[in-house]
Amino acid sequence: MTIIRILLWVILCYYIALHAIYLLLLLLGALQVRRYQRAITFAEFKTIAESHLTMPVTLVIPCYNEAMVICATIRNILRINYPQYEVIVVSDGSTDGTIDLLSKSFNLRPIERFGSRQITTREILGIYDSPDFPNLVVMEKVNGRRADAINAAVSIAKYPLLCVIDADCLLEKDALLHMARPFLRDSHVAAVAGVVRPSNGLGVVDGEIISKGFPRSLLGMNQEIEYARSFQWARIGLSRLRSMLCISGALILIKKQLFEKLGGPWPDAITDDIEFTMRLNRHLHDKRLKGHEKLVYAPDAVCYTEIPEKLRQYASQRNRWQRGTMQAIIRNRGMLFNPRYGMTGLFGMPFFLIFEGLAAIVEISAWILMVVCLILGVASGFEILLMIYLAYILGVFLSMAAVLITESGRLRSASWPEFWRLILAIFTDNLGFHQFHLVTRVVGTIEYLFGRRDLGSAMDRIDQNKSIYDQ
Amino acid sequence: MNLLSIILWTSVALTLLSVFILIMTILLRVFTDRRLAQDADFMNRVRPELRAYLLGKTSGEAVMAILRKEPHGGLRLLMEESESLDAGGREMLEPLLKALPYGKEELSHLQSRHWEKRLRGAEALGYIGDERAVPALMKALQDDVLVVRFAAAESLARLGHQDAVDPILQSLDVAGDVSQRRVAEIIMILGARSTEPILSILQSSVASENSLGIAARVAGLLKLHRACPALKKLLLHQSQNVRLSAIRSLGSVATHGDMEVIKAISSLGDDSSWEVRCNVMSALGKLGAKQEIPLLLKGLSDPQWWVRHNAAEALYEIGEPGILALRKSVAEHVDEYGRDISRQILQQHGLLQKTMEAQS
Repeated sequence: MTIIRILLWVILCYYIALHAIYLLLLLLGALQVRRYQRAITFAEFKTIAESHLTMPVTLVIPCYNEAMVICATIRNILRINYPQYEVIVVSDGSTDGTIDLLSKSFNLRPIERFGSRQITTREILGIYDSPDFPNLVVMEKVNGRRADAINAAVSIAKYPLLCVIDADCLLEKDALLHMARPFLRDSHVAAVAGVVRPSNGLGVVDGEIISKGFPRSLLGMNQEIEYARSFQWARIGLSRLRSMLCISGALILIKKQLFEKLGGPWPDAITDDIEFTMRLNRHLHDKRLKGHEKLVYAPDAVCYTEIPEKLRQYASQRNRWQRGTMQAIIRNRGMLFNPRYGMTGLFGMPFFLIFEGLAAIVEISAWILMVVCLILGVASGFEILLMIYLAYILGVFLSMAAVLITESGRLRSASWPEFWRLILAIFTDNLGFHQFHLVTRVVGTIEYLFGRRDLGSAMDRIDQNKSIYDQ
Repeated sequence: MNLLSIILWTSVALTLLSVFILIMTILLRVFTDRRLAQDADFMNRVRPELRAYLLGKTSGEAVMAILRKEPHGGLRLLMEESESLDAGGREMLEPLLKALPYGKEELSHLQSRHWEKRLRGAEALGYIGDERAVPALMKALQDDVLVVRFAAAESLARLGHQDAVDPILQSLDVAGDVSQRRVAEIIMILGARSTEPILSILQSSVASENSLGIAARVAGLLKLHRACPALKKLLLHQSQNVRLSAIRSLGSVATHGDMEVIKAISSLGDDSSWEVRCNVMSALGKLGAKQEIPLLLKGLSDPQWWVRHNAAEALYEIGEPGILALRKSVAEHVDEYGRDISRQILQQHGLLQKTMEAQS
């Protein structure tokens, strides 16, 4: 009985600490968004868009068997509003005819292109450009995971800023301008992260976003809430505390020189973006290096990515993310509780380990403990229900706050029916969906401990080659 | 109070808070929708009138009658229009901006405790175009917050205040490539009016490194041929940043084939900074430095990709003798990287196939 009581107290303390930090992040996030919005001047983005001096960007799109979506993504990227940029698409040993499709769609021709060759990658089979789109380059290479494809693209990238996006992503027209802004305001900015939102529900014609909306399924809506919580306040708050240890691989803008210095993403990583962000933080916040460079967050640079709407694919994705998180933490364990990395070592890394990496295990343990308490008579049914309700209402409160922040900015939901669907999803999130999420993460942790390092199954894509009217 | 009561009351408090946030969110949506509709309605009314005024079909009074009802929205609209119009169109907007009760509020914003307000005030005053704002903007150049200083500098440049060049350079004496680019761009708004102050800074012996770097940049952007002697002297400056700006600008302002300038620039071909070497190659190409082909061929095997690239581009830009050297280096250059970059540049300009045919 004593052990159970001690465990109960441990879990309660864990919850209190977690939600106290969440509350702090929420407040910091809200304040940061408000400050950010108020500091934007009237003609700022127009100036960036028209200036000949704006730093040019190389956009890198790694893809593996993404024939269903890649053309729409490229067309979307070729339409963005930015004064000077090139797009490098890397087909990482695709076997679904991606290169043939790209050849037909963009009239590709082979070219000679040699880059800096700073990072060693798998063999490059060919480089092509398009006479119709002078800023488009396509690279074909032997398969070597996403990180290897990014590194290969970087080896021929021309420009001082690199933007890596996923093959299923669509950028808002001004997203790159918003991401470039911090670089122009502060020469110490090393990398900028943007907001990622689900693309399911968007109206897309030929790569152009013509209407906005939310996913149709409940699973999709719950992920919409999850993304809003994560990107609307958690990451902004964490970036304020120098603890943003996970920048989504779907959207990051970084100085090329720094990227090369770090050796690019690790090719053997399960989730190369998480591992690379940790290494980036390690470099930026190492007091011995005495650098002043920093990582910032642009809460209005938006990228849309496809989310899984089938349970099997969702479970596979979250399992991979969990294994990737564990791998990245273990690989960068030297930062944990290490004062050499300042706030990142003393708060960011422990937070990531205790409240991200191990969160699922603690939460599942809490559920099991409650059942044990009920069976052993340590707690009454009313007490258990009350505790479940507390966990439920905490989730609702945090999600509601995320929606309030979202609605106060320009990312608000398009219509009243969509808004009510979002509210409904907040109340249903903790009624099974969240618990399923926890199970997938626990399975991921166990599988990681048993040596599983593969990337899991690929996601079924929505065919973007068809118009939305065919779907 | 036992644990159960704490959980109970926390749950009740969180429930109430969640309901409160929900109500706040709903109200926010309602008010935002209403504001957006009002803004759209105002814009729909005023825009056609403003277009008609700019085409000379209606008087300024008709537009002002609408603008007076919504001065803040009006100011925003006029600022938007001002951004999309040419100098003539902007001149037509000036009477509207001056006749309306703008300026006072923005001037008072410059005194605010909140830097965001000072920033907005400084920015708006540049559009309003009221010369009376100049002293306040000059004062704002001393603001503690850098972005406010930038906004004040841009507004002074918009107002065409030639005397502002020196104070702008003093207040924005910032290091770093990007910041200096921004300052150069702001001074460029003044156009030819900044010529004399820029020349005097370039010749000054007391100007700071940053000011010299920015002034050298502006000289290049304005294509100030008169700045050549001063820029040539700056090639020997101890600061890498100043040397870089001077090389870049000389490539744009010196006369094609100017032997003296070419010689001075090529003396930096072995500089320890790759950025300097990179710009040396570009400048030699722009100046058609035929006699420096050996230096450019050496640049083809530089450890830095950008230096190799710019050296190859420069050889192409020089014309026939440069292209011939580039063609030869495809097969004969001792360094693999030199051969690769030569192939790439020749192909980019559609000359690789001919080269290969000639060689086979």
